[in-house]
Amino acid sequence: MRRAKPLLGTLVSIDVDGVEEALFIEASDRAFARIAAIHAAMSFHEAGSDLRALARARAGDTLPLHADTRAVLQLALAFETQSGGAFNACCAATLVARSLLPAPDDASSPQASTLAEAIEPLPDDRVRVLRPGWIDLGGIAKGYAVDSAVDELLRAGVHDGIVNAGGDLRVFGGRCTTIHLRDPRSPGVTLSMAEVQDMACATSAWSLTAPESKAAHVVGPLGDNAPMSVTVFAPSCAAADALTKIVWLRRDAAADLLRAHGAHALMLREDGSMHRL
Amino acid sequence: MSTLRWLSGAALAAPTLVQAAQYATLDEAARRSFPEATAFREQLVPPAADEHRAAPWRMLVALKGEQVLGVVVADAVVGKFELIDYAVGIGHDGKLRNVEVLAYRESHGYEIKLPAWRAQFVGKDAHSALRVGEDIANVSGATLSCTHVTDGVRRIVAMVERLRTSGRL
Repeated sequence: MRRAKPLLGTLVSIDVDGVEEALFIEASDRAFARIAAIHAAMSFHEAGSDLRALARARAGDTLPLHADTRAVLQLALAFETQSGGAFNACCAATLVARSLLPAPDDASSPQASTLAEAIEPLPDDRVRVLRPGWIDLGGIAKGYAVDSAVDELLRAGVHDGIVNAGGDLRVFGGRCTTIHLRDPRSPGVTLSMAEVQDMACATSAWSLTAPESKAAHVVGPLGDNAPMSVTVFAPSCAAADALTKIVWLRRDAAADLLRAHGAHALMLREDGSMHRL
Repeated sequence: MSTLRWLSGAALAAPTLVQAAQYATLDEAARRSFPEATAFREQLVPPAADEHRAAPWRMLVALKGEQVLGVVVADAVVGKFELIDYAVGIGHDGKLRNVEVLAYRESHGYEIKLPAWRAQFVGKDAHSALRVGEDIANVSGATLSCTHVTDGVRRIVAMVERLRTSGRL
């Protein structure tokens, strides 16, 4: 059984096996609602979101946040530390400058250049603002939303399925699934990459049909011989999502961090060559 | 237990055309929007003069006995490569109840007719292996945009609001 909704700015689908329709509808309703709530809390576009509240805050303010936002910020801080700064969620000002995000008209001027400079997580879902910062969680929140949807499905009694948020996906339960990669050289074609069980996968790519997107989504120096597409397999979709950005910037130097997360990466270059990490 | 097995280089060279996914029928979307409904009545609504639209809107009016619970409106939007059928459930109070994607189709047909496109597979025994996929559930890659659906939902909400306020619903 399957179902899809437009969420997170993309098509989010839930495919499951072995359950009655009534249970599927109830469980998928909960999973979709959880994704919608995560989107509302972590959208830089929405003035009512946690991220916009953080962008308005002044140094020394203490803000109550949604538990999900707090959890994603904590994950983003950990990836920033582990990647030596390659993963940087405090990048919204750069994305605004590239017109990838709208300029907020109600924000303090951004001063922090890393997440660790910007916030300090406190107990009880609060954070302290150290220096005002414009935070974008686009590099990790979609993966976290997929993981949260899987949690909701499991809690509701659905034990086997796939949640796919526009290409960031997680396979859970006993099924063995072949994961295909959309070929960035030709978006109508997919290539079989790997067979997985209980595994998440995320891809970050630019497309030949939209070359202007080449480096638009990555903040940092790309260097020579950059890949067109980076796919990361990891036990959680949040980790897969975050690690794609780190592999873009660090490439082979990201191997140890991938191993530490039980993750693997595949880079595809414009000439069609593949490189696994 | 998380496991991963890379497929061989040959499998990577055997491309599949992403094609379509069917998620729900309009009837299923209607029942999911209004589980308490006892009947649905089909109604066609001609587009208003200021709507740039040739076809009438197809909608199902959700009923519980004689009482109108709301409507479910079907629509389709066309993106760069994709066609998305979707349905929007709106309560009699004008509130959005549910948005359900019914079907997703990609059209890259023109692309495979281009010699340059075909040339990339020469020597990889790929022509024979070019399969037509039926699924996008297990495809990873650059994010599809659903902006057109979001815009479509907004248009439908406005259209239903006009019907409500003019007493035609």
